[in-house]
Amino acid sequence: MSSSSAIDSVLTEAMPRVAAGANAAKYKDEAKVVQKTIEKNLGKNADNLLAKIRPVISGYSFKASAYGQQVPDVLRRLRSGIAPIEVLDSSGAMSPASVVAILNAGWELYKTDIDGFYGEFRGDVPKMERLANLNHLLFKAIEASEVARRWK
Amino acid sequence: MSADQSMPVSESLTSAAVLSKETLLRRLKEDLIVSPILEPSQIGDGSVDISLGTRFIRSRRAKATEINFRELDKEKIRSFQESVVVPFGEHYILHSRSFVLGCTFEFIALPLDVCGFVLSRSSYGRAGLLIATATFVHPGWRGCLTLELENLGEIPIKLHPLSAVGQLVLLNAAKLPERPKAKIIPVSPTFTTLNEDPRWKKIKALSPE
Repeated sequence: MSSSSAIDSVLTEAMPRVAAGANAAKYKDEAKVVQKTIEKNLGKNADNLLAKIRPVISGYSFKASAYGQQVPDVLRRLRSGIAPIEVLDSSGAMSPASVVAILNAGWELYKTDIDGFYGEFRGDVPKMERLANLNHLLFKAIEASEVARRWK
Repeated sequence: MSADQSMPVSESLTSAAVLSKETLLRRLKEDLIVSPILEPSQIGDGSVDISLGTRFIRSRRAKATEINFRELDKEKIRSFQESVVVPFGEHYILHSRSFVLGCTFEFIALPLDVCGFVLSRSSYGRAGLLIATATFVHPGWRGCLTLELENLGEIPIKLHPLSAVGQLVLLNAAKLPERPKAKIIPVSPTFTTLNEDPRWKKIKALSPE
């Protein structure tokens, strides 16, 4: 059974209980009935639902370990004024940086070492233009890394 | 294309040689950036093929009668140029005897001891497409190179983003002591910055119009 059909079956199973709750006389406000019943049933089935959902979304999650593996190299390139399109992977080959790593590196640079990035520019360049240039580098990296990923 | 990042070079130039394919591959893993390399065949002996990006700057002929470099300012530049984005998979038609600024899809960062020249690929040149006039790239330069695209032929040419229209020839250079500070690190074509040339003040002082 696929994960999505497993979730469907959990929800199908819960629906009669939702309907039973909605028909109870003690609830006058239908919306409240539905809400409370859903909350109650979701609570009961939370572990089951999470067990089914986790394998589906695990490919999209970005864990702390991945942050440590991917972001520092992207950050190092960005800090020195390089659009971080590709990074060295564990095999020593260049591979497209992930969009999540690029965005996280952008935020980390902005929050922790933006003056270091600004130092790559001439003194007469306004800070707003330097910051705009950071955004342009990030945009370029996201666009080109996505093209490189699809190309390969 | 690189005046903003130029600075004096040291006297330690030993030999100006075109980098071999073996050296290019090694330097690409160390300190040379031409990214992304979509095909291994892009890297040849002495050069890396460069492809067309998606952003262009074209002139709005109806908005200007001339370009007078002496009187040029940012407002005037904006008035007769417009940016165009051509999505991947689409094309820009460059008509006969027309000119447009484009830029490389690849982001380039040269080491402090490597310089480069941008050249058209002969196969495109034979169809009438010229891609660069100011071809020298200084050591330490970073960004997407602005390409001056001109159709010298009689027949319109379709420009497709990601097509490998040019090549970047790379050579050893005298090593700079440090990376030059940037005015801008471009990722799209940049129009002339001649309006910022201090020489114009002196020219105006000598010959007021």
